[in-house]
Amino acid sequence: MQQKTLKIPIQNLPDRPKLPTFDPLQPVVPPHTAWNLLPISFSELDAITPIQIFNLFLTNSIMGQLGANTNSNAQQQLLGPEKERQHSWQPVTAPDLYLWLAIQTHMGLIGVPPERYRMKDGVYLPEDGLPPAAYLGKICYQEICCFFHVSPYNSLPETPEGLPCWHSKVEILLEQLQFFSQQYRVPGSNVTIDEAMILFTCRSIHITKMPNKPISQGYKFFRMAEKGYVWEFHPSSNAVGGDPVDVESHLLQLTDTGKRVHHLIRHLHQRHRKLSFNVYMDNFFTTQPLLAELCRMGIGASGTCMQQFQGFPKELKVGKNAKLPYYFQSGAVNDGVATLLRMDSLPVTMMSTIHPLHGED
Amino acid sequence: MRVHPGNKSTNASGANSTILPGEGQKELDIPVIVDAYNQHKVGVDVADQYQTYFDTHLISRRNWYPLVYWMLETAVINSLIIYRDLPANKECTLDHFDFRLSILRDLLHTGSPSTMKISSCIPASQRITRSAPST
Repeated sequence: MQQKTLKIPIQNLPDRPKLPTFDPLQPVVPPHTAWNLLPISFSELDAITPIQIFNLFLTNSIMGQLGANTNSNAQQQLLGPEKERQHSWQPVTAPDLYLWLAIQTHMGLIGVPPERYRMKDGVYLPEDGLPPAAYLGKICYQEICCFFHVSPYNSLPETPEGLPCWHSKVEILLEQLQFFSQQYRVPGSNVTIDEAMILFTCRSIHITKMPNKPISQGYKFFRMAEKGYVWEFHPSSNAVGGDPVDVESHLLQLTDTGKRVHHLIRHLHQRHRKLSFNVYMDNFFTTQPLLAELCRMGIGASGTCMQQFQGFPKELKVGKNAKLPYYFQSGAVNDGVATLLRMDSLPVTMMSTIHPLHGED
Repeated sequence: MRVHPGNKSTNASGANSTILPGEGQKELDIPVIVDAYNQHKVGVDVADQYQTYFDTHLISRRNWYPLVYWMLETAVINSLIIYRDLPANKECTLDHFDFRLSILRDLLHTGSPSTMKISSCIPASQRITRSAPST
């Protein structure tokens, strides 16, 4: 059902409060930029190559584990009593999986102009002149694709309620990636939280459809990132919601989305207590109770907000398509959170705990 | 920098009082809160932008494969950002394509010493025999 929007003519515009004075949250320590926390052994190296950094995230032990789980899966699939005579399986090793990964990476580069990535007989080549497919045959590649298995065969991690976790088949990789992403870099003061869609158009009860987004159908993850570096993420399912998070009693007033945002930020805060952080969110996440709670933790937050969301000041509600004078500004302060209403092409509503309402750049 | 809205814009009459009809664009002050939001809100979007350049995502019927591709992409992008922030690479560093090509080359090098995995479920005449490639 289409929502009715409130249209207020300019001449009938009710009086809106003027911009109040607001004392923003002052950071305890000055803002900082991001820096790397690489292992000590890296300091002894003359030059660090890309593959050495990439191997920090996909370590040899993970690749060995993936190989073992793939072999286990293949044996279960192929060596059943009725198939024993038809198939046999030569175990894959970690180097085989490295080649498989190389071909996956190679396929991402296929659209590159040929002058950078040489082409011969329709095949793009790295500089050594051999196509990646020469290192691993087509059948071998397809077999690995067919039997590739991340988690141990038939072992499904469970949620605290005893239900199978919907992303259990990739749980090992998710945990490792998140752990190493947090270990090797300290994000700068200004981090972002947003949702991300992972394209998947086949059948699954866990995918989310968002027709107006560039990726309209797929898995939804909440991510915390800083200038492109994904520091933490939180999977979310359309059927069972997000993964369970620890909720303290004073956070019960928050929405489910707010609790997950609070969960992401709390991890960052617990890990780097001596640093100050500001979180920027879009209107899907920003609510007044959430920003007030973050302010009590000493973390600044700012973002666009929706007028129908929890805690939005009633005196600033004007509707989505209201016609106001150009650059009209109004504001309100509630529980340490400032709300700004500003007329641009359309009314813009924002909340912040770290910026003054007065002052322009 | 603000562009003049179109004449059919819902708020064109209001904008015309600020940006004259002859002016295509004009510098206007914006509140601090809006400016900071525009500056810092792009953290996740930058990661998405990097991923779209050389995306390894393939179509698959298994519902967990997209997550594997996404994690592979995230690992590459995080590595790229760490690599660019190394003190030795501040002034002269690899671009995104060369970074991926370097990883590709080293992955092939890492994988090539192993003996080739031979599928025994296909006839010997169709098996792909391979030794370590000579460059």
